[in-house]
Order: sequence, then structure tokens, then C-alpha cells
Amino acid sequence: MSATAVENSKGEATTAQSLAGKYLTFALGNEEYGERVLKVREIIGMMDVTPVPQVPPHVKGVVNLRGKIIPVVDLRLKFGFEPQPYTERTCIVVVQVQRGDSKIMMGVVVDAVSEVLNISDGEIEDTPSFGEELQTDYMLGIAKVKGRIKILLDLDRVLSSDTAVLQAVNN
Amino acid sequence: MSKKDKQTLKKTTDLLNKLACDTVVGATPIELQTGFSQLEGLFKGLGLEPLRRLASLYVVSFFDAASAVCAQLSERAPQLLEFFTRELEAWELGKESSDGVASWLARLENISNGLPAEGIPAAQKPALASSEAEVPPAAEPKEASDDALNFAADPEFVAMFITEALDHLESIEALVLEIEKTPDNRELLDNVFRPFHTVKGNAGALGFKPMQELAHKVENLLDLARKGKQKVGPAEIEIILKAVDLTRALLGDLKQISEGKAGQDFTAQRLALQEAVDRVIAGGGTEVSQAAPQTIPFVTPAEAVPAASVAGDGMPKRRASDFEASTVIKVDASKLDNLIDMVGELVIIQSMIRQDPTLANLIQSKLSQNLSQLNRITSSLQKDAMSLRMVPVRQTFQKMSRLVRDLGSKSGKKVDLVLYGEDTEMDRKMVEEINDPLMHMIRNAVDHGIEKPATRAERSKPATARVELKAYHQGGNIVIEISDDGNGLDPEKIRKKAISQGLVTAEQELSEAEIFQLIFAPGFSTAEKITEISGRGVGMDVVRRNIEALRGKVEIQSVLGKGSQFLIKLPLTLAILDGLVLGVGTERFVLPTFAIKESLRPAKDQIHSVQGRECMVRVRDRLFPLVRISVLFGIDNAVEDPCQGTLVLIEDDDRQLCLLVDRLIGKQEVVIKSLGETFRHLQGVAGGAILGDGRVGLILDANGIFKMTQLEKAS
Repeated sequence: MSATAVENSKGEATTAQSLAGKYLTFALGNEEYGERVLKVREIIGMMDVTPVPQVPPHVKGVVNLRGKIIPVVDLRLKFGFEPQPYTERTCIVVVQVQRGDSKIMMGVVVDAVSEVLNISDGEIEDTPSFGEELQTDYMLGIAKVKGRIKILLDLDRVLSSDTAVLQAVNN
Repeated sequence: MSKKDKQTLKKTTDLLNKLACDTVVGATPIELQTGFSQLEGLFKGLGLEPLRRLASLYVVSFFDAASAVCAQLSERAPQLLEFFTRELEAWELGKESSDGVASWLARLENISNGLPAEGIPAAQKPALASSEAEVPPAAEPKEASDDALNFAADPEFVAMFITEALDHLESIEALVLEIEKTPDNRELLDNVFRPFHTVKGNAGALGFKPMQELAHKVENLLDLARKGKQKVGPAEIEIILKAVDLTRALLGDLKQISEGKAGQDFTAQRLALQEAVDRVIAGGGTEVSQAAPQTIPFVTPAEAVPAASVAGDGMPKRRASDFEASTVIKVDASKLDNLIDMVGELVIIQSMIRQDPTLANLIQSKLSQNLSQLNRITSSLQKDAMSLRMVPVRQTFQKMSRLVRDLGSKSGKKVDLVLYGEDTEMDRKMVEEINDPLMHMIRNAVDHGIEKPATRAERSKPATARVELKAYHQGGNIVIEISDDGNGLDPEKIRKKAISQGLVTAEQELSEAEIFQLIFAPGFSTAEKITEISGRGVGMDVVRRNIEALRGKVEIQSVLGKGSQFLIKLPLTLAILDGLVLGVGTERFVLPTFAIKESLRPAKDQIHSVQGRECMVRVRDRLFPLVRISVLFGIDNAVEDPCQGTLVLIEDDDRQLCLLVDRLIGKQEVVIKSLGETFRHLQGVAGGAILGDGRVGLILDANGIFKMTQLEKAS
């Protein structure tokens, strides 16, 4: 039973296979990112965010989304970029992330939303390892589309520490 | 965990998910073999030898296997995948792995050898709150008996059947308790026969033979009773109640199986009970307690089928008395919540339109009339929507009747539970939450409060003890009262125990009320004997926490030797809060009115400093700590000088302090929204309110604020 062979040839193929699909791409500074369209619920313009205490700076607070209160995270700050004032292109992307076995709606502040791209296997590469310096757990992979690089995110992982924000603070 | 391990782990979880999806759609043995041998390789990479062996055995079992064996192996795939997923999670968290691997290995061996698979894993018992001691021990490997329910029925029908059957069982139980008191009432006997008949019919239609059989037997008994051919005495009542319990357990089991989990085997109990029914009908059934084994778990409806996971729980349940004219409909709870959210939004947007300044200029009488009408209709709509959430407490209260009866007979005490105000309505969510605390307090009342008959006689008290459960509205709250005419609380005993546990010092002076509140401390119990029900001291603090989570409080009154009274005070609805909107900087906060004692603008001479910091306020000769919201919540541009802002004196339990805010904006009834899982551990904030302009204002939690200020003092 050539288990290893099967794993290598099928295991990796399986991983890339599940990555192809439609992605919503957005900009943070000079970099372009993408998240699977299935996870995106809607895009709203920037609105007043009610700040919430005792949270890290990238957790901006909460907003009212048609009667439901959802938390809002600034992705720039989360990734450690310099904060920039919001422009009229700044939006909140409302995504549905998985935490344990429940789904939570969260808003993510991005500099600008680009477009929805259909990305195929061939255009996606595995995340290279950048050594210990860079955390790449939450990147699904890197896509090269039309000569530009888009970093495909797994927002479940990006935001996983935020879906349980305060346990760390209080412990 | 190393980087490589993390990657492998991810690959493994991805593969598990993929395979799980595949099995749903229908995977061929080849696909399963390939998938599981990949898993084997991944487990090897992670160094998880037991799991690797299991995966390997699974694959190998397919080799040269008969098609029946292949079919069984395929059937087991989802379960095995789930097991792997859980083991992997546990491993990731560094927990000990369960010994499920051994039983799985055994199971696979059995299947390969053409034997029936089962040894049910010990972990699969449904959660029980047992008033009767034992729970069926993990069963020995069983033949696929009648009780291994297999059904081709549509899962939706099954879910509906379970919900409706549980409803029927509750009506039946309530009726039986009444019949116990008036055994000759023909109408009651008729009324209790019908739902049994219905459950039997539905069970039969869906092919659930065991349940059908059991219901049929009891139906026979009831039929004879309502025709006057069988007298309904204590033996008959016992039997019927045991049948109700067993049917509930069967329903719970059915639900487990319908979710793909392993079931339990109740054949032994069921057959024994059925025999007992036959005996009772034949006239020889006085020895019920031996005949129907005690091992039937007392499963309350809430535990048999957790309400949240069965869709369709919305409207008030049917009352025992109005079987005929039933105009109650079942509505999916989430639809109801969405509707209420939308109505809330409608109210806000309607209000914003009315307040729009451009409109103010255009107002003429017709438009103005229409707007007023719009406002009236919207308010009415909101009231109606809110009332959809309210259900009478009747059902919860009636569950307590059964509990008291069983507890009383078990402990040899005669106790009567008298209910008042069952029609009082409460927010649906609260009714669910209040169930456990109530049960615990009633258990305490019967277990520790009520004396044994001998003691009662000595004290010249009536032989039958009286526990009263009352519900009523009082001043914008709902009050639930549990009173008993038993022992009462002994302040001295409590005080001594508290001192010995280090909760208070011997010198501390405490009022009686404060002493009584000590019983809510974790681990506190003055019970000399621990019964299986209570006395372990884990109950009351959980009770209090549960009630506080509902924004309620518990008050205790008691007279030693005469009895006790526990008052649970709760807000009418969790959804709406009567609050005061406060402005701090550019933000707005809402403070619940019930926490507010008064507000004032202080004069210079009322502010006192300690060590250079302004931190005390004198109000009418009492000193209170001064707490700045701007500091607690990190708000810039807020008013610093107390004399320029407003002080709000808040109270929680017996503590008080003054909160400094910029200004009071106004009183408002706000809809409380949860801030969600993300902020669950936030202190000082009870939720969010959607204010008149659509923005969110944080709702302050007085209790949390006190805790926060203590932390600051400590640091």
C-alpha cells in the first residue's frame, strides 16, 4: 500500500483543488488580498463605529447592520500597517467566519474593494514559507492574476483570535 | 507544535472534512479506502500511532470482504470520521485521547467477522438529571434488535414527530398528576387517553415499533380506565408515569440516532414495563416498584431534546384543558427573531423620518396626520411583535409539580406543590433559562427545607408540607416566589459556616439579609447530609449567576422553624430595557434605570480628594467613590471636571458609586442587542442598544463597573 505516494500526489493536489473559485479582492495599502466570495455577505460603506473598551487597537468596535450588532476589525491595523485616515473608498466587508461550530458575522475595514475574480488552480501557488519571521497560517495561497499578486486569505484564521478577543485580555 | 506538524494537521483536517462531505453524497468503497489510507499516512506523519492503526485497519477490512461487510464499513465511515476529528481536536489541545480507539478496533473486528458491531461507546449517554439513582450501564454488545431503530422516514417528519410527542407527553403528565388527586374524573381520563392514542398512531406510521408497542399497552390501560372497568389507583399512576418517562427516553434516543450518534438500548426496561402494565390490568400490580425497574432515567423534556436543536419552538404550548379548540401554531424561532429585529428597525427609521428637519418645514395638516398615524401603527406593531416572545410560565411550573411529587415520595415526605399565576407571561428565552435555577431551588426546598413527618408533628405543623410557587408582575418586573412552610434558614448556622469557610470574619456585623445572601457563595452548604440531589454546595452560586445573567436578583426571607421565601425578580423581557441615555465625549451609553438611584450636578465643595486625586463625592452626608466613564472606557474629549458634568449615583447589591458623565440625554426604552460571542467577556458592558439615529450605544452593566473599579484599586 503506497500510502505516502498517494498522499503526495493526491494530498497536495487535493489542497490546491479546493482553492479555485471566486474571490473578492481588496486593497490594503499597496497589497492586494482576496477572500472567498462565499464568505462575503455584503459590502457597506464606512460608517460610525461605536468603540468598545478593553480590546486591542485593531478591533475598532461595533456597528448596527440592519438591527444586528456586529464587531468591526481594521485589517490594516491587524496586519501591522500604519494607520491611515479613511477615504471615501474605505469600506467594511461583512464576512461570515467560523468559530468552533458557530458562524459569526464580522466587519472588516479595507482600504478599497477591487473586484470579484474567478481564480483557477493554475494561478494559485502554495504559500511559500517565509521562515519564522512571518506568520503565514492564515494565507490559503498566493494567486498570480494578470501579472499581479493577490494574497488569498483564510479570514476564519485571520480573525480567529478576534472571535475570542477578550479571553486573552482577561486571563 | 512544529511548522511541519501544523501543515500536516491542516491537511488532515481538510481531508477529514472532504471525506465527510463525500460520504454524505455517497462514497464508493474505493474512494473510502483511498481516503482513509491517506489519513493513515497523515496520522503517521503526526506520530499518532493508535489513530494510524485504526485507519489502517479500516482500509484493510475492505480487502476481500463480502458486500454486506463493505456496506457496513461504508455506513460507519461518517462516525469514524467524526471520531477522528474529535481525537485530532483533543490532540491539538493537548488533551488526553479517549480510549475510543480500542472500541473502534473491536467494532471493526466484529464487522469483519460478520458479527453485529455494537459495543456502544461509554461516552454516548444522554445527559440526565436523575432523581432515580441509576442510569443503564454501558450495554453489552447487542443484536440489532427491534430497539435499534432504523427508519426510512424523512428526517423532517422525525423531528416534528419528536417535538409533538414531547408536547403530548407534557400534557399527559400534567393530566396524570391531576388524575392522581381525582381518580374518578371521567373527563380527565378521556383527555389523557387521546394523546396516548395519537402518539401511538404517529409512532406506528413512522415505523417506530417499540414506542408504538409501549404506547399501545398504556392505551389499553387508559381505555379500561375511562370506561370505568379499571380503577386508577397509585399502582396505575406509577406505571403511567414510568411509561411517560420511558417514552421520553425513547424519544431522546431517537433524536440521537437521527443525528447519527449511537443509540441506547431500552428493550429490557420497555418489556418489563409492558409486562407490568399487563399485570396491573389483570389486577395484580401492586408491586410496581420492582416490576418496572428503577433504572428508567428521569429525563425532563428539556434534556431529552434540547430545545435549541429542534426547530419549531415558538408559540405557547397547548394547555391540557383546551385540546379541542387548539389555535396555536408552531413558528420557527429564528423567523420570529428576524421579524422582531425588522420591526425594531422600522420603529427607528420611522422615528428618524419624523424628526427630519426638512420635513418639519414641509409639514401641513394632512402630512402631519398621516405621520402620526404611521407612528401609532408602528408602535402597535412593535408591541405585538414583542408580545410574540412572551409565553406563560405554566409549562415550566407544571414540570415542577412532577418534580415535587417524585422528590416527596422518594424522601418519605408529604409535600404539596401549589401553583399560582401560571398564566403570567415571560420572555420565551427567559423561560428556558429559569428552568434549571427553579428546579434547583425547589429541590432544596423539599430536600432541606421540608422536615420529615415526625419533626413536623413535633412542631404541630400539618402533616402535608406546602410549597408554593407563584408568578406575578410587579412594577415592571416579573416575580417568581418559592415559599415553603418548612425549617426556615438558621442565620447562626449560616454565619458559623461562612466564618469557617473564611467568607466573613467573626467580628463582621451582618444584617440578616446579608447573612442569607451568603448561601450563594460557591461551595457553601450547611447540609449535614449530602443527598444525590443536593447538598454538595455547587447549586446556589450557579443559581444566582444564572439569575443575574437574566438581569434579575434573588431575595430571601425566612423565619427559623416556620419556613422560607425565595423571591426571584426578573425584568419583563430581556429584549427591552428601560434606560437613561448618557453622553460621554462623542459616544453615548445607556444605563439601565433600575441601577440608578439619582443624578446630580455637584458643587465644588462636594468633591473630595484623596492623595491629590479627586475620587470621592459627598451626597447628603454620605461619601461615594467617584468613577469616570471616560477613564473606564477610554473616551477622549470628555468632561473632566465633575462640576461641569453630571454625576449618576448607581447601585448594585448594596454597593453604590457615582459615575461621571458629560450629560444626560434622556430616558429611552431601548432594544438590547447582544454584542455577540466576540465580546462575551467584556466587563462593564451588558450589550448594545440601537439608538434613535441608528448608531450603537453601549449598555452599561452596574455590576461589571463595580468589578472594574475594584480591579483598578487593586492595581
